[in-house]
Amino acid sequence: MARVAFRWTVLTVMGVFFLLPLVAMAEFSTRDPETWPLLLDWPRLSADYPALAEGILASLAQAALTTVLMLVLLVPTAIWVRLRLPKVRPLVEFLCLLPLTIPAIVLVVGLAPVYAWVNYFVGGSSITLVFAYTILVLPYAYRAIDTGLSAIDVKTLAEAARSLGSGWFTVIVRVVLPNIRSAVLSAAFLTVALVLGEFTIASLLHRTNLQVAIDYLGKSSATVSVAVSLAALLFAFVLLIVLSLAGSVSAKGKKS
Amino acid sequence: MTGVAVHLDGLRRTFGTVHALDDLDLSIAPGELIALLGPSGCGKTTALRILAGLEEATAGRVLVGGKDITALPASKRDMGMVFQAYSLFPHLNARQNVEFGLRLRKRSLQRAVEMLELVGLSGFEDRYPNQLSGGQQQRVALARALAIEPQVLLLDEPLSALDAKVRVQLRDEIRRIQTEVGTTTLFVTHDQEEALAIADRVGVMRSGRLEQLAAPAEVYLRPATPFVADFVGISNRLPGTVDGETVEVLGTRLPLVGAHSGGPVTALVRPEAITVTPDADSTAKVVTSSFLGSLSRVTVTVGDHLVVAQVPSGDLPELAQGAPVRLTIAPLAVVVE
Repeated sequence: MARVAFRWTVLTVMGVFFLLPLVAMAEFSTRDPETWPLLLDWPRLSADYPALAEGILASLAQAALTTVLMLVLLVPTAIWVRLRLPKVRPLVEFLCLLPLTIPAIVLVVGLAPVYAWVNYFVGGSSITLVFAYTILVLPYAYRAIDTGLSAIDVKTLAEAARSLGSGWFTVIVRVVLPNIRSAVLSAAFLTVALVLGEFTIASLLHRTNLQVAIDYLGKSSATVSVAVSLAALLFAFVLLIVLSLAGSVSAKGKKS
Repeated sequence: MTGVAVHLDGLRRTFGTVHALDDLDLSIAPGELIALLGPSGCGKTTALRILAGLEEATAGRVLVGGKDITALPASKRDMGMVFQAYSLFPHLNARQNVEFGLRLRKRSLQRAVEMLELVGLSGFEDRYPNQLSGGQQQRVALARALAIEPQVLLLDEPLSALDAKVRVQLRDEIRRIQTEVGTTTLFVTHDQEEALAIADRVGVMRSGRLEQLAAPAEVYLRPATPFVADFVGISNRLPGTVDGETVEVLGTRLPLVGAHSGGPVTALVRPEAITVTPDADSTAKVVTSSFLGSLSRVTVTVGDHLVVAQVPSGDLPELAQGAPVRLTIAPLAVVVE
């Protein structure tokens, strides 16, 4: 009995801890009934809050491009390391986990001179943050993809495909990728969630994205800024729910 | 379809200081099924993987149909392979798995259905690998390997993950299908019974070399070396004396495999060559008697030696521990060392 009471107490405290700020945000952002309809009216939003609209577009583009770049770089690398260079795996794992241990501010100090060159060659567009974000998402994306690869016998599947006449490209695209689909989806969703929530690097490198725009907006229109924050948070929640649903559907499919 | 000749010429493969293959020469005739038999680490799988192009040889050549394919990648070798581990693509059903190689070659997909029929899996086309038993998965893998009409079929211990009954069934079926399609085949196994049952010729390997390559009956009845004799199930090592072309073991003269200079030797005698009959005057005594179904295994002490005999259970009287028995050895040729 005491155990049940303890469990409920912990759950209640945790629930209040996590939900209270959200409820407060929802309450605050609905004080002006115009706020939420505005978020769904893109032409009006971009006319009234051009900086916010720019931030949203920049973040969406950054999320999409970071996901593509991450997948293009990481998936073949992870597969190749498993198939051909298993001895290098601990090193690759270490390198991929490194961004997790380096504080964002330190990363920016290192990235600043690099971005001086990026500015020089590519320009100062906020889309260039994609390079930094690809490094930032490595720990999460690598873990997700590596876990997916551990769940299948990549070596045997690749050898079977090669003996049937597949080149390496076909092996990766037609044999390995379809079998780590949910892992790739996880990596993609985590990337999107992380990029949409990123503030430090964008702000310190003087580029814009959703979080930077929200920060600016907070100074002039607190209600809209809180509403947008809540909407971004809900979007991330939805992504994570879709992710766990995708995972359970694929697990169900594999059961005999 | 007619098979092609395969020739492994002086194949060597070294891993650091270990010689997995040590100048291996092996010729497979068109349409022939050769089983490479040997303990773990003897190099049999390495030889097969080099033939498949999945591993590179340190030295030597691989010739298929007279063409040197040593430098050709696995994807261009035109070989069908069945692996020890289940290797069906989990995201494709049985039919799609068999179609995989056909699509790459832009051939008619109708053949996939025919191949599934050949391996006895009509009606299972839409099942995914996780809905098939181990034996069924290996059948689909065999159909997939054969669908592309490969020049050579490579079987890397395809039955070792299956239970005993399915193993025997599928073994016989592999032989039937291989004979039917006539593909030159290399079969790797560590199971002597499997190798002897399925192959035209059996190659017994040890430390990267072939100890003997001969027809199954030859390997079984006239093993070339003590290692081969030991590996194909001869467990009795009995003292004997060589005299000319015969050797005397436990008072029986037996023909000799190969030549020997004479004198005292250890003879390797097969358990099924020994019969056991109760004899109150004998000094040989029963130690254990185990019933194995159609056969029984009796261990007997003769002087300081333990002798194992394997006799049909129906011919065997009840033998208590310590019962005196007489041993008779059938006059089959034996190997000595």
